[in-house]
Amino acid sequence: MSKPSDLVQGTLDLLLLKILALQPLNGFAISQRLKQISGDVLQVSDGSLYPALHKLEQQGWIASEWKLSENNRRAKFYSLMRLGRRHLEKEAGNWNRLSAAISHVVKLKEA
Amino acid sequence: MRLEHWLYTIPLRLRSLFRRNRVEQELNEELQYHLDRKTEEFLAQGRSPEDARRAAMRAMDGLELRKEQCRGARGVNFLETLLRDVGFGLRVLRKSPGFTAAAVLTIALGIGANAGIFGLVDTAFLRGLPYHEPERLVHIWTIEADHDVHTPTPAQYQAVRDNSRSFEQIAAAGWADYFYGPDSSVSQDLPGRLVTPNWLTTLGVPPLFGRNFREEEQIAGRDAVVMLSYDCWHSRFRADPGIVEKQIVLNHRPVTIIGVLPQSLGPYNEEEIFAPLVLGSYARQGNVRAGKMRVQIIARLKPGVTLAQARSEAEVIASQFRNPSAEADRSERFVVEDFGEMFRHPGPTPQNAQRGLWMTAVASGVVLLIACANVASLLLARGVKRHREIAVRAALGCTRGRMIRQLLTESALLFFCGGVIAVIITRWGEEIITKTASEMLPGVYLNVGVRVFLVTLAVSFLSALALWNDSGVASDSCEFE
Repeated sequence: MSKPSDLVQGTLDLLLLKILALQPLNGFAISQRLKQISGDVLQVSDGSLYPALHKLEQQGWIASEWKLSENNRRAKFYSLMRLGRRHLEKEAGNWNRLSAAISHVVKLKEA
Repeated sequence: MRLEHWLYTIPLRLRSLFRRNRVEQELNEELQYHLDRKTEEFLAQGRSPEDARRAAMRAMDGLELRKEQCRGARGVNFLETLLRDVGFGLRVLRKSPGFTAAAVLTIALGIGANAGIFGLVDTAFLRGLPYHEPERLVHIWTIEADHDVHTPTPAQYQAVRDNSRSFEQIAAAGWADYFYGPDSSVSQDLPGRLVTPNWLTTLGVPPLFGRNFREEEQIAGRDAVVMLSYDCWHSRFRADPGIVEKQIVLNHRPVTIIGVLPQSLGPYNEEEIFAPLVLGSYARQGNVRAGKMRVQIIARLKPGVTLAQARSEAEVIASQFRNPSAEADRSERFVVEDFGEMFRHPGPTPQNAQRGLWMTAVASGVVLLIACANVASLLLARGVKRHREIAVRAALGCTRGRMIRQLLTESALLFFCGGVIAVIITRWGEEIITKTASEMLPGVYLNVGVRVFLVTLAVSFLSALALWNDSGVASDSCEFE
């Protein structure tokens, strides 16, 4: 079974912020969206999702609000805050640089 | 950026702390929502209700653990755990009042003795002279034809005052005895000092209350004013807060009390009455010491002026006195000495008393050790009884660190209670201790203030730390069989 530690450290935060940048979602919807957009490559267990969300909320990067969900039940919706957007931009930039560097190395032709 | 961060997160933390039930309920609801939706999803895949529910739980990967992680994210865990441990500790201690009383009293005794002795040692040695920047204060002596060091004469004081440039202030203090008879039945001779109006300013000490002497009060006829020492005010005037402006009769002459001096005045603690020094009349009628009228000279060096510079200046002034017109004022040279220096090497009697005080300090430390040992055995006896409790908690998944922390909080609580009682008792005994101690070593007093309180607190928690491993965890109780 895949564990969150299989993700590169800190990537889960980046994924969550990016997903919430598109639209406010509740926890369950976030887990579905994660599966949807990454296929089965990135497996995030349902359990590790919530501690991560709560940490982001305590950082002031995302805010939560109780609203009616699509099936008419009360659910906790998370949305991206201004500080979170700034953090996301920074982290996305870092990620791009890092992944570009690594794929460059991986593509080197062996002599 | 930082501000925005705190503006948002501080209310969040406060909410986690003070609306804990609400926050907990929201956490449960949030996770329950997820589980329900997940179950529906599995049901839609055609699984049985039971199977779907279990699969949803499994996907959560340890529900309780996840909840604990979410709580950890709140950032108030430390405080929250502390509050809960303190609450639990208080309940546990209340359940065994006999043990609690015995332990707390033992600790109070040990710590109380130390608080008191520390207070004395603190005022006697650690704090130094109770003046403003005492390192700039000097004392000036004269060496006369007999090659002995003497206190200078009033004329020498005037010469140093008028001719030196090294000093910010130069004050003189002579000696006088005062006959005080509140009523005809009792009358006493009180030791006193006659001081120049700038004497307190030179020491850099303000009066406790009331005012300082004025410049014109050193003129004969306008000098009917006195300041009282703290002890005098306390013992002879019952610490009357309205003493200022009252008149008393000293040496058959009515004088007005203008102020009270602070409790600690270093070497001046033995005198009770302080009056203005009128140089003209003092030179005629003052107390004769070693055949002459003499005054003590205290001076405050200007900032940046060294003792050596002041000494060479005094040398020049002294040359005027090698052949003065008045034989009485002859001086071979002046000695400028650091003011604190004379009190660092006091005579044999105070030295013995100081040694006595240190020994008492050591003894009180031993008392604390014995108290700790006693409490340790009490805790140990109880640790055996709590074996079951600890085993059950370990079986329920309480981590070792968490358990140690909780038991440590308990013993810290014991020592905190003991420490508080100790400070109260010491505060209560302040006067008796001061009285006893000042008979042994003049000028020593006990003032239970912030310093004593902080040291007591530190001693309490250090003792608690030293004892925690007796409270049951660190011993084999944790290795549940």
